[in-house]
Amino acid sequence: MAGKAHVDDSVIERRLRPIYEWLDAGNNKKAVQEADKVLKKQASLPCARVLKGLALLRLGKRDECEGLVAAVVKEAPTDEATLQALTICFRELHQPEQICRVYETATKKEPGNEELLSHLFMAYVRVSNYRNQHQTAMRLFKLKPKNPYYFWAVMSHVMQGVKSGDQKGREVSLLLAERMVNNFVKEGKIEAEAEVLTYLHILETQGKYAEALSVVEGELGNKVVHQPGNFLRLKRATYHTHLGQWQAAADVYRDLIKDEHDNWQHYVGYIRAVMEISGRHSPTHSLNPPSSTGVCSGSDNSSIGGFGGSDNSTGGCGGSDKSSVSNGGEDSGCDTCDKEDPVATAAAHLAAVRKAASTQEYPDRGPFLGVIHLASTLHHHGDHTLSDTLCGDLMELLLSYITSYGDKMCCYADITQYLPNLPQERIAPFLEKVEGLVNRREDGVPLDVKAMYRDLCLVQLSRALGQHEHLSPQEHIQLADSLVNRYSQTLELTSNMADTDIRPGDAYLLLAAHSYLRGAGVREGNTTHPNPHVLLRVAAILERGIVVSRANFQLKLLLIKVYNMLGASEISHTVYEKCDLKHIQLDTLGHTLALQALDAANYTAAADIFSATLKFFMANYKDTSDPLISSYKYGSLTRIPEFVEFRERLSNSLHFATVTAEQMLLDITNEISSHSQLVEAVSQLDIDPATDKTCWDDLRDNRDLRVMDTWDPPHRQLQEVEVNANVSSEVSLLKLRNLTLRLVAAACRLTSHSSSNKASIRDHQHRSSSTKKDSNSECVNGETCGATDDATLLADLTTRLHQESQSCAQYRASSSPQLPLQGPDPSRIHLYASCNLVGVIVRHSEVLQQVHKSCTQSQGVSGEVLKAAKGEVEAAVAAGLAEAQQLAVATLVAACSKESAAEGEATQSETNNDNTFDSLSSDLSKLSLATSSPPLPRHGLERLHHLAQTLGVAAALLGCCHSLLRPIKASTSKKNKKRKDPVITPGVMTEFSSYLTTLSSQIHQLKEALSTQHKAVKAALEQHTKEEYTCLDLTSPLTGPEDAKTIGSQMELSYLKSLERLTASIANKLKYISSLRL
Amino acid sequence: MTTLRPFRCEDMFHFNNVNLDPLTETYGLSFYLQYLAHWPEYFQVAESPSGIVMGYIMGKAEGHGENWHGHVTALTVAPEYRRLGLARQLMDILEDISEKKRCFFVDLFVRVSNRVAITMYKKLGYIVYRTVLQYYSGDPDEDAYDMRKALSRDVYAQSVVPLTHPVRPEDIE
Repeated sequence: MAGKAHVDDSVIERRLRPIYEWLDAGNNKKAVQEADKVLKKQASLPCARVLKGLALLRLGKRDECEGLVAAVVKEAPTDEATLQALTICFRELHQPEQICRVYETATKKEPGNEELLSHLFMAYVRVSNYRNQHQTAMRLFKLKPKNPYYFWAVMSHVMQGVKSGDQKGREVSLLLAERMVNNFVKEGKIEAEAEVLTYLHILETQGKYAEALSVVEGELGNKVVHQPGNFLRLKRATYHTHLGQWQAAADVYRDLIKDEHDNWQHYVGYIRAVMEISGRHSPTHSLNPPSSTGVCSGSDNSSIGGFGGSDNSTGGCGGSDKSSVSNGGEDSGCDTCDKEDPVATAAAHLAAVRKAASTQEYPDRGPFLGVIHLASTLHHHGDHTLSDTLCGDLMELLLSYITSYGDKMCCYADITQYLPNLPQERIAPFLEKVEGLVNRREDGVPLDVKAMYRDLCLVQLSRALGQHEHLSPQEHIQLADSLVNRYSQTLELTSNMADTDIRPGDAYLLLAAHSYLRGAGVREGNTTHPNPHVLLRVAAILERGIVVSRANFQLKLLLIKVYNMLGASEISHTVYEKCDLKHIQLDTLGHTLALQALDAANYTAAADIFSATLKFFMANYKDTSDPLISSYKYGSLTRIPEFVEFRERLSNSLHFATVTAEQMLLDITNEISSHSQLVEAVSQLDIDPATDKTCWDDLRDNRDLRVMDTWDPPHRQLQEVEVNANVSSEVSLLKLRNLTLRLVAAACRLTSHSSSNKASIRDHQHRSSSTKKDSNSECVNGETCGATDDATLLADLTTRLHQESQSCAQYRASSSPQLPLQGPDPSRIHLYASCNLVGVIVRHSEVLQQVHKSCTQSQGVSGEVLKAAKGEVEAAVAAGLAEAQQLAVATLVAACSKESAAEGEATQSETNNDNTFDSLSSDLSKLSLATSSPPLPRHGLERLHHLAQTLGVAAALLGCCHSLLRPIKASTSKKNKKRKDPVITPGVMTEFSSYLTTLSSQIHQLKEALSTQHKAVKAALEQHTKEEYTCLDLTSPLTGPEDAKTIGSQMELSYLKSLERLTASIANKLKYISSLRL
Repeated sequence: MTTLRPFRCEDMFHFNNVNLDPLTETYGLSFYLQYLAHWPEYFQVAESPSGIVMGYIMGKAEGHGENWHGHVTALTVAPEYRRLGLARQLMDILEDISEKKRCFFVDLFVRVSNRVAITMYKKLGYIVYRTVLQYYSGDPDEDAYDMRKALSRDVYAQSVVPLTHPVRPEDIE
């Protein structure tokens, strides 16, 4: 029997091979054909049937695939090939649970099959079923007593603990894991490095540092052989630190410094330990000394030791604090009190290290910065005199550092965290001395590249030390001009650099751009009217910089920001594409351009970016599952909690949730022009009106807000509180969006003729198998409406939406703060809330509810409700109309023209009665920069976009009304038949119709106004093109008429396209609403 | 002056100042995670005192018999931290781990046009072992140098005797 099966196997394998090949080649049709061929010969061959199913699935025939697969599953296959094929199938069907079922059945049939059991284990890993993982691993271990199996079981306990909701469960699971390893240790069964690392991980997670210390110092430590050389010592130092054994920690770190004098973490650990020994306790747990700024310096969870960041959060801190109290005294006690201050010893030691390093041909920076770090830490503790005595004067130390390393690009970044310790009165002399280090030509231009770096360092330090804080707007502009000049003058010094390198001088442009933007009023409480002329000039300069330094992403990121400010998202998108953002960057840098494109009505770019972004997030589950399995296979067990944490952080990304919602809203509003289209679009989407699965408390802000360079003094940099406020406003908007989507879905369900129950079951199944959100993480704080029927649900959602918008009142009153340049763009909710558009949706939903009631309960429709809706939408459209008429798109170039500038000079005193601008106008208008700043088109475009979307939602709700009223209208028009039908006052029909007529004519006006603007921009574009944009003055030392031509035309083209799409979108609404006549 | 430590998943949330450089590729998640799962000790990051990612190295150990070797998959340093010896420090770790794993040599591929990198690797003791034709796809395809450095286990430096003829990508073991 066995022999026969074996023969069969090889034949089968040969027959199946072509199917695999076609599948691999992506030719699914051929794969189906090939499978059919095999099945003709051997109709029951399970693997061939599954492979056919897989090919069908990939061809989009999900139902057929499920049928084939279900039949095979029923037969309970146990052969490797079929099971593997099923695994792939279920993975692609997003039904990982099914993989477990299949292997459970198979292992029941063949309980002694090691291979099958290990697949079952991996299947549980895929769905994070830690309990079953553990059981399976133990079954494996009993079957074949191999260490890895045992440790799979150990790690399953660990994960069960780490992911356990309650503290008790966590402790128990971790303790169980520890015991399991302890038993193995006692029996002398520990073999591999991975096992020791797992042991350490378990102890660390529980805060058992004393035990961990004895492991690394004992026999088991010898098993760690493949790690970097400092691994064990770093572990020891970390454990001593956690235990408050400061002397021991200091000793280890001192040795580490001796061997690795450029490895910075050793200095940080050493100096902290020494400070503790001497009784100068660090006030916080922070290991970074006098860190100057909010979010931008110092990663909040950088850990001291070699182990993963998750360790810190999972239990380290609490335990270590306690032990530092109890043990700290012993170590630092009496043996130090009659001796020299340990800080003095440390200072002497660090000085010696520095001396030794200075004999190197190219001295490493670590030893030099180490002394500064100690001095700075002492200053921070108020020990100014001691610092001066032991380390020398801080200013002199910094100066000597700059003397040595000021010609490196990184010099500023190296010392920036120490600048706040420089006394105010030393700043001027300090900068004077730094200036003295710059080799200049007679005209002040740096002599060579090294001098350039020094010059840049000087400018950067001046800015960071507050020297540019008191400049007037005019002086900011002048400073910026001089920096651009400096860039041009030094360009030739770097002409021989490779294309792939960034030019040192690029920093001049960045500094200049920051100054221009400051001078233009960006961030001076003046969010709506930064001077567009300055913005254009900055854009031109940055564009020039990018041509020279193609690799410089700092220039690109800033440029995207500037175009975003202008609302010229076509050009933002062009620059964005040059950044080539991919994969995780779509999350971390999604804030540079995604929603901005949407709001500026650049729907094509928005759809592109959204689609790539969503694709990345959808693949997250699969992309992280396979490595998780690999971690078990290759024994890198300590990475498992990290991978799981990473996966969850991505699936809880706020950006993901936002893009998901915005994409759906776009799908049901932008191109929809009839009710049937809407119903179809809504049914395609995965919206459950009854439940919002968002785990609001777990949403994560994954944006990288540290990537952009800034040299502002600490108080001007992005503050954590600003980021938090920005996040909560984005969350508020997301809540409004999700409620709106659910409202539309509920409305569709209410009016759909098919049984709503069926739909909800299908929705539910679809949802639970979806991988959009981690299907394994139980959603504890997502919320569900308790509504029992569709009408109550709609009413409930309407109330919720109303309440939610009330809670956004705070945003309505204020305009969105412009955050520092490295921060995100202004949050969107202020503008949205200020347009009162949620009211329009709420009112229309109320109309729908009334209409529904009148149809089902023979109630009349109150005219008041319709009137209220009418009032709300009329106001919104009227505001939009005004917005459309004022839109400064066609006039922007003219407003930045030379003539306009001259005009501004003449009428400077009366240019602007906007209070926020008063203070600037006197200075700025002297330049050719500020006249009466025309409002930027961006806000107008955004308002119109929001209006268009809202009208789309209103149209959807009216469409639902229509589908309720139409059958009644039809039946009443048949006259006298069936008097039992719900009575609808004929007045309702008339009112509804007249309402639609008014609304249509209003929207028509809006459309006309947009068309007029469109024509005006087109005319302006043609006119300006003919004149080669001579009217636009973007002259600077770097830019001229050519740049005006390029940027002016690109900008007008961008506006033209935005208007085109807005007009089309409004036209769709018009068509939709017009089609609803009864 | 830098903190060298094992790369962690969360570093991907802020490695942009390295990866936005056009010469550094940003891969799909599974690429990084598979390296972390398979060769965690070979994936090290250099971090500045203020917590900025300055650069990182990814590598692996593979091959059979005398071909057992360490391989540099990616080595990258952010623009502002170049020419400070950071790449050398990262390479040191990789070579050290390869020694501990009893590898015979370390190898890497580099674009033939990347003079800066080639010069640096030569300084670190690497030689051009062979040319791999059209290894990098693009427009046009570009050849790679397969560079090698013998480790102490390869006492007679047999692994670094240069080949006289170029090879095709499909011929690389």
